[in-house]
Amino acid sequence: MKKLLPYMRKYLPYAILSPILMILEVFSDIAIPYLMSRIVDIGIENRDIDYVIRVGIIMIIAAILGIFFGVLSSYAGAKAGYGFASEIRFQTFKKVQGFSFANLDNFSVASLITRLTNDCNTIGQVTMMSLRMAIRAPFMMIFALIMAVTINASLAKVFLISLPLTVITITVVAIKARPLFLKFQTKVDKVNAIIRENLTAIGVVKSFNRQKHEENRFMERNDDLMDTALKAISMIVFLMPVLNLIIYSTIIAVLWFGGQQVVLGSMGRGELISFITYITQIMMSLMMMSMFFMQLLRGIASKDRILEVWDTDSEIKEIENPIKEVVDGSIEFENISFRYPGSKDCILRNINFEINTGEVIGIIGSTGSSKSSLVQLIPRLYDATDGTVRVSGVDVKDYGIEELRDNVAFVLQQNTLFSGTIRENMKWGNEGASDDLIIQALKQAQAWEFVSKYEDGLDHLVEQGGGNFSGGQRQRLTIARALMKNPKIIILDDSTSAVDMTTDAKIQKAFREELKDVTTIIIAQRISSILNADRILVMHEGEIESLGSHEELLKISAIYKEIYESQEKGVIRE
Amino acid sequence: MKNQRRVRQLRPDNPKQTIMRLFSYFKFNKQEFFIGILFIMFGAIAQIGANSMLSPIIDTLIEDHDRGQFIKYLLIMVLFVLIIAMGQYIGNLSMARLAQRTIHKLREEMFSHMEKLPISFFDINSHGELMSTFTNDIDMLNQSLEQSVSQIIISIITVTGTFIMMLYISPLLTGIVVIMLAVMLTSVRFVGKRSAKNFRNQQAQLANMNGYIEEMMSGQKVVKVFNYEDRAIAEFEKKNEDLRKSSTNASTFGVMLMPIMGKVNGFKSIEHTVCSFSWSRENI
Repeated sequence: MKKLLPYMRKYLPYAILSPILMILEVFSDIAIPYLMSRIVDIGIENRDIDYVIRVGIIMIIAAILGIFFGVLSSYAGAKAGYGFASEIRFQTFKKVQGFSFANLDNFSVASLITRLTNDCNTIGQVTMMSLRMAIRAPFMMIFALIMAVTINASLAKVFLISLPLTVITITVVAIKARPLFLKFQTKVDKVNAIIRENLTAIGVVKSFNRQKHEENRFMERNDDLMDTALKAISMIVFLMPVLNLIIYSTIIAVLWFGGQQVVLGSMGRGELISFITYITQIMMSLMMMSMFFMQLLRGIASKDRILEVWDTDSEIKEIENPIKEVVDGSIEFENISFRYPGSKDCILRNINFEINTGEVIGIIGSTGSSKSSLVQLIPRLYDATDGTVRVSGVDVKDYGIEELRDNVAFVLQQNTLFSGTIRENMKWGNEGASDDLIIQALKQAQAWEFVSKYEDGLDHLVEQGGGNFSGGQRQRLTIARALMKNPKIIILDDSTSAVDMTTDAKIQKAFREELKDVTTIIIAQRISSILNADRILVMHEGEIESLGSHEELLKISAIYKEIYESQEKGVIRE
Repeated sequence: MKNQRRVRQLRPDNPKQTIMRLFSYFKFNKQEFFIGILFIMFGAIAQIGANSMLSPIIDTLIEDHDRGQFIKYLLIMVLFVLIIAMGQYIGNLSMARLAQRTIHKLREEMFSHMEKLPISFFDINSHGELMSTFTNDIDMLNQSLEQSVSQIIISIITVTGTFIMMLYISPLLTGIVVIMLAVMLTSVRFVGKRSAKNFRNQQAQLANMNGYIEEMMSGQKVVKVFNYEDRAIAEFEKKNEDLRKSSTNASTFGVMLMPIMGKVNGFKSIEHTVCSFSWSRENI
């Protein structure tokens, strides 16, 4: 909580005002029954209509004042609660923006979304409730307790048993339920993760006919989620009946012991009735506290999940006084080995090679040969576990991250476009770009041929994730977006897989002719995509198998030859 | 997911239809449903019973000095209390179980249905909205199943039961309470109308915000590659502020109802005292 609280500062006056106003409302709530008892005891007993009307008017004024304070308190509470939530949400979002790829791999997208939406909202609601309920209930309870003791101190001893019993019940449920709720949330995340996976990769699932397998996987997690939910619920469901049992037992005890006293004449009838009213008030406050407490459990779980984000730091750090300029597009890998943070197995070993500036390099290899992992080291999406990656002769760790990534354009396999116009999407690469510049990039990526056909051209709307474009169109747009950066190095990670061969060839040509000075690295499944590269790197199980031109490789690389022949056959068959 | 329109809706437009639909989901667990409702009803009735035992107990004690009768009434009350606890425990547990099993089943159905849909469906519908159906909508359903149904039952029983008891004790006082409640309900409705507009606004802002978060988190790696972080933060800040303002407005009106309702309850408990008081007076 200590970490979150400073973000309340902006709304502190409201956070203080809300409980104060709440206390005023409580005063009104406690005055009303008192005034009522005066009406009954004095007014009705003496048949004094004047008195009844007089006190009745005071009572109505007290009620109106109470509503007034209550509404003001709500307003202040809402202001503080939602303000607090929005600060937390903003800080969390900022934190995620600073995450490295490894951090993002650790938190699933689904879980980050729940944290930013549901968890932040819960914190706001719980704050609001804390400011109101957590103040109101104890005050009501203390005041009613004082009244009860004043009426009959010996009878009030029942509270010595019932109050601790209530507190113990609530505490026990709290201690038992908390880990269950935490577990429950992680299970929810797991279920959501699989739904998300299937939503984004439904094409893959269908083409590999994996629906049944995915369904089984989902069912397993869904069952798991239900089991955990049921465990948590059976704990919580326990609370209300037990509390009710305590309340009514107290009332029965008061009736029993108080009854004896009434018979003996040491206690009045009115006193007994009002005493029972106070029991209800006290116990109602306790119920309220337990309700609040259930909310608090949710709040604490949310808080923990938010703090998990806050406590995660990117392992990719900038050095002090970083180099701000990338001179050329040459790249050098020296004794590189790499494993993903948290994983044991090295997926890249003994990587040593150099790329000249302006060179076109193709990378090919079986899936799992760590092609992507290799190139992700260049813009420091991950840091190499051992060895040094140099761009323009300088260790990538010595550059400013922003400058490095501005000069190394990376077209990810995950070719996400964002909702907005095509122009807005292109401006991701260059905020101040003119339309001419955008069109030039679109032409180079062979995207202009379909964009120019839209009536609204660059103003054509892109839906979330780019869902209104075909896979090939999306890939071409993301290549154009990367070109907007005017980079020294461009990396295409399997970025033309959905583009037809003719268009693919056109893109290759544009790269060769118009982007001569840009170092280009193309990862591809199709040999045709890299056929004309200056050199081709063949990766096998995390190591470089061979390096050379197409013709050379056909002679020296068995793997390359095999891939080439199988794809040639495929083409002939088609 | 039969009708895609539902995906876009944040709140049901037609409560009656929604409730009917809700009930139709119980078909998976008929037994649990009936046991749950039965025990919740037991609990609610016993609660009225226990509360209405107070007056006769005090009366026998004070007016009749009948110790045997007093103990008998007290034992009846103990019985009621036990039924309350049992009814609430079994009732709430069954309803919660029912809710969990229902959404479990629903999730399963939705998922396997999703796997069968043509790919074109996923091109037309944004992932964010489909995802929200799986998470937010299911969550809402869970809450309604777990709480709303039992709350509706308890409210109906409590209101009618209390009303009958009050009418039995004192028709005049009942009349006064009814008038008071009518005044309160009118003022609640007044506030409610204004709050509905604010509430809709808040829901729109919330959807806007959630959509943005969804989109940004899904494309976070692209954000990193393009050094887009600062621009994303600036835009987020704007949307966040809009949401804060609208949700503060919406909930202020909403929470306003609480003190008003609280006063209604306060007057009701006073009524209770008066009732038992006049009951004892009449018996003098």
